[in-house]
Amino acid sequence: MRMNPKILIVDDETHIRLLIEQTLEELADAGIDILTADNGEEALRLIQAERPRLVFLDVMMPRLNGFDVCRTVKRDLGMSDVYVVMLTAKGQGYDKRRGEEAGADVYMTKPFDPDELLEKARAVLGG
Amino acid sequence: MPHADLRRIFGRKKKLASILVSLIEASGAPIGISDAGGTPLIGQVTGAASRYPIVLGGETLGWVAGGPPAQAMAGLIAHLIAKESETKSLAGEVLDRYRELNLLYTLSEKLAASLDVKAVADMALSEAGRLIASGAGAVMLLDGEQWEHVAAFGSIDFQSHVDLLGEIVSAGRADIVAPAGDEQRIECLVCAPLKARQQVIGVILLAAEASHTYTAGDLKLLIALAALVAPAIENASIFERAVREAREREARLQQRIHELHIELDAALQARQVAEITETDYFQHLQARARDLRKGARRGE
Repeated sequence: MRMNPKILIVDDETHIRLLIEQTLEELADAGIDILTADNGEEALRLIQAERPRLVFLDVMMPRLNGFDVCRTVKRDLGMSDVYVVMLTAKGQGYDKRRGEEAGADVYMTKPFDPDELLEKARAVLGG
Repeated sequence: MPHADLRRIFGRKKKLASILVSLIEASGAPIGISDAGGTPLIGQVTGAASRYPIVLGGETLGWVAGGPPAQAMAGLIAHLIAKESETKSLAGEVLDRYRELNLLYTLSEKLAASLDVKAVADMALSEAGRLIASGAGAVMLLDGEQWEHVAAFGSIDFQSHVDLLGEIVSAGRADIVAPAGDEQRIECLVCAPLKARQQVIGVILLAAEASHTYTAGDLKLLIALAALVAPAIENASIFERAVREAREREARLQQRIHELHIELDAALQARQVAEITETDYFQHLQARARDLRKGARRGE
């Protein structure tokens, strides 16, 4: 049976998860499965179990931060096909570099532009 | 239009669907959940059974058929869907506010980087048009008694609404208006004055498409946008004026330098001539020339 493409939203703030879910509503209507996690460890478990095509990953999280999750997924687990969008309120070059070093595909700062986020998801999932 | 589609909700909320399956199994009774049209979604009941509607806002979204637990389950599902619907509605509202916040945040960054009146006005209008549904819009600045069209989109000529613009300036506050008997068929306008240092320097206007009407939320957003944009326009026009004046001063200075060069050249030439004519040698030559002229006249 063909599985629906999946998107994972990882953020410890409930309202941000809800906001991203709401932004991606039209993709959910089109059959994309939207998964959520509120910490890095849960994110890693879901990424391995569900193999989402796209992950929106917050940086500052309890237990395991976004950089560590990304590095584990991209390097240790070798899941380079998982597209990782790092989301953080920090816009400094230092964080951007850390995201790139961890293997993030794109880096977006909060407050994010919902239209840009949806556009990115559409592009990654192939329209 | 139904509030919610049961099939879609179960498709999206897989946890909810799996909890319902577990509940049905735990109840030990044959229970089936179907959509409003009777298509089975979870479980199935064969034979005659009572069925209970899943009702939300007076609308039947689906049915739970089976023994006595089915009625309680229908109530539970309705309650969960109502909660889900509330959450979605809240999330939609928060997303709208988030879009506005993002707009003001990014616009303030862009505005800080621009000192061009037209670019600032274009940016403001384009961002306003993105969030407030509109078929036309304009940023107009007041230059003395005249209105200057600085940025615009759509086919409406706002310049022909001088009375309306005048009213906005004299009232000094934002409003939603429906111009009566308008030739250009503007049904609804939302407008806000651009104020800098307590003075109205212009207006930003958006006109609705077809039968769309503006809300208090649209007005509030336009007011926030105008408050952000007006000082940026004021700064940009002060800068443009300063640049223009500096260029004019420079041109005047160039002209003066040119004139001084001519004067200097003439003075230099006179001094150089004087330096020659005041030498003893030149004086001697002049005396010799005078003598020669005298001798020549005598010889005639």
